[in-house]
Formats: sequence, structure tokens, C-alpha cells
Amino acid sequence: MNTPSIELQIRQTLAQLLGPEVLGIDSQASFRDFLGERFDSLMAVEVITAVEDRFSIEVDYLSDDVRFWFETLDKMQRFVAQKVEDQLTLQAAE
Amino acid sequence: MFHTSGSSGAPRQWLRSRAQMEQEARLIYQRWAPEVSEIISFAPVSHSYGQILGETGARVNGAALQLCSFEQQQLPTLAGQGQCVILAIASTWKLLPALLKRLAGQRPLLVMHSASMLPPGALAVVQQFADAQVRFIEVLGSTETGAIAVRELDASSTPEQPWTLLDDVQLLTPAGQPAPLEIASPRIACEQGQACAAPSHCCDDLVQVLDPRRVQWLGRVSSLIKVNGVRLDLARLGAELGTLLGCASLACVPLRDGLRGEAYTIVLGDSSVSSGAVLAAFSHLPPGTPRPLHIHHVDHLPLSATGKPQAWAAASTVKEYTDVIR
Repeated sequence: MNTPSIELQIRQTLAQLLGPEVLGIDSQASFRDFLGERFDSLMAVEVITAVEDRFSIEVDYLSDDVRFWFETLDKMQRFVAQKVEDQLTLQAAE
Repeated sequence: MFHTSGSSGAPRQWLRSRAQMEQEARLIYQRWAPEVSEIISFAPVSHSYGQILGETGARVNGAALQLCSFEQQQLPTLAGQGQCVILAIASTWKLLPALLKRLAGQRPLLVMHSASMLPPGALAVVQQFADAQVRFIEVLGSTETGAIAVRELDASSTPEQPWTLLDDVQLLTPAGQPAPLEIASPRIACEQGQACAAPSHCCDDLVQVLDPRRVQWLGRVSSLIKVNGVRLDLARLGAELGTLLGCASLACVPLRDGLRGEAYTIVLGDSSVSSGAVLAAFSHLPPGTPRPLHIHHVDHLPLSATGKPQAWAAASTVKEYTDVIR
């Protein structure tokens, strides 16, 4: 069975949190705008937490530029891919 | 001047003198952080907590002040030295582990929390970091009264831990059965239009008196909740939304939230009212009105004898959704 792409996994995860509209958002569209129209200011943090939990990664709010990396679905999938790769590299080195 | 929503619907304005605010800031800082050199505040200065323990606290102590917002990703720089006080609101606890990992061991720290219940998970952060150089206190207060009581949190703390009144606060609640918290204090605010402040105030908090200086907090008397520090009367909100939507079968049900401390969900017993229509109705409410975490449609929302939705019934109807600590 093929593993869904990171972007699809993000969409599925966020659809559970925010509703099925997430499945159809343009990957380059501003996610902040989408949230701002529907939810409160803390939902952006909920999004980050949901992505952390889905991929078992840890976002460091003080060193990761979350405003940039969580601006669009495309950036989110690039951020997650890098974090997962870093994690695998670290695990291989242990 | 501070604003509250008012339980009857009309906004109310409360005047607090500079002397009252300075007295409160000195009272707390002299007891808990007499050597403070920097305050990192996540509490908005438009709220009494952020104004008094942030801006006023920095002024009376000659301390540096960093105004931050986790929601807006306005995060502090960590280059300061000397004793540091972090003013936390509910959402700050998500960021605190990263902050404390960097600051603990570098300088003495005091984390203060106020303006809402501690979010689930906060005590785990306390257990991880509390020691002689990293201390945690929680301040119980309100816009009308200012700070009332304090409790220090440590690795053995539980949510039921008693509160100790501040030195200038007198407890008026009788001992015996659980009852609303009533206090007398020289720091009670003067409601606009009144000649002077009332000598005492009866709060929305339900307490059990343990002795003349200590109480245990049991909950709230009214349908008020504090969403990340923002007061919200759920009964009033439900009535306003119901009017805007022409929907009598609507209830706002409180729930605990890991990020906001408290939050709520909207339960609709009318399938003709869409979730989008509910969210659109918020544009007719005062800016900053906290949004619901969820909107649920149910087959039947029980009404009271007077035709009002029964929030307790709604809570049990959506128990499978709302009983989860997030």
C-alpha cells in the first residue's frame, strides 16, 4: 500500500481539526487567511500542534520560524519533510 | 479604565487609580520577586492583569518590560540578566517549556499565571521545572477587585490546592457550606458613574472557606468562562446568537482546553442553521468575542420550562465530543 504524501497527510490531519474545506485549499494559498476567517487567533497554534502529533516531530517556537513555515500547505510539507529527515539522520547516528 | 462584559449584557467600565495599581504591584513583587530586573509579559496591557503586574510592575520596580504575544508570534529576546518574571496567560503554557529550557539555570525565574484557570498540562510543566530558582505562582483576581489571593505551585501541587488571601484582603464569605467569594479590599475598582469604590465585592467564584485567610476554589457561580483570559458569559452569548440566527435551539457549552484554559462548543438542535451561518453571526458581535472550538448539530436539544436551551443537557448530549481534555 502506498504511503500518502506528506501534503495529503497534513490535509487529512487538519481536516479533522478544521473541517473538510482544508482538503480543497490551494497549497500556495495563505493558511492564515483561511484560519482568520473562521477561527480564533490560537487556532494557528492548534494547527502546529496537530502537525507535530501527526508526524511525531517537535516544533521549537523560539527557533523555528513558524510564521513562515506554516503560512501555506506547501511550506508546511517542506518543513515537515525537513524535520522528518533531520530526525531520521539523528536516529541513524545514535 | 478597564472593561467587563457585564452579566446583564451591558458593558461595564471600572476605574482603578494609579495608587491602587501601584499598591497591588508592590504587594506582589515585594513578596515574590523583590529583585526583579525584567518582566516578560504575555498578558495584554488592556487587561488589568497585564497592566498592573506588567506595565505598572515594571515601573514601580524599575524593571525592563518585554510585551509579548504567543498568538501573534511576538516572542521575547532572552538576553537579559537578573531575576526574571514571566507573566503567563493560558496559551503561554504551550511556549513555557521552550522558554524555561533556555532560561532555567541562567537566572532566577518566577512564572506568574492569572486571568484564567490553569490549562490542562500546566502542572506537568511545573513538575518538570520547579526548583529553588524557578518558582511558579498563580494569582486569583478579577477586573473589579484586582488580585485577591495567591498560591505557589510546586512539584506536589494539585488543582485543589488552597489559595491564601493577599495581606490587604479581608474574607467576608462565611465558613461552612460552599459560597460565592466575597471580599473587602482597598483595591476594589470604582464603577464608572459611582462616586467611590464599593468597600466589598461578591465575585463569580464559588469557594469553600478553610480558615480566615485560606479558601479552596470550587468553580464559578455564573455561566462566565475565561477563554485565554477573555471573559465570556456563555448564557448571554447563546441568547445573542440565538436572536441573530432566529434559532431558539442553541446552547454554548463550556469545556476545558489545553491552549485556552477554558473554551466552549456550540450545540445546535436546528439542522436548518449551518455552521457557516453561526460563524458569520460573530461578525455582529463585539470584536474579539472568542470563537467556539466546535459547532455540533444534534437531533434534539432539551429546552427548559421557559424555552431556554439547557446547557447541562447539551453537555451530556455531546459528551462524546466535549468530555475530552484537550
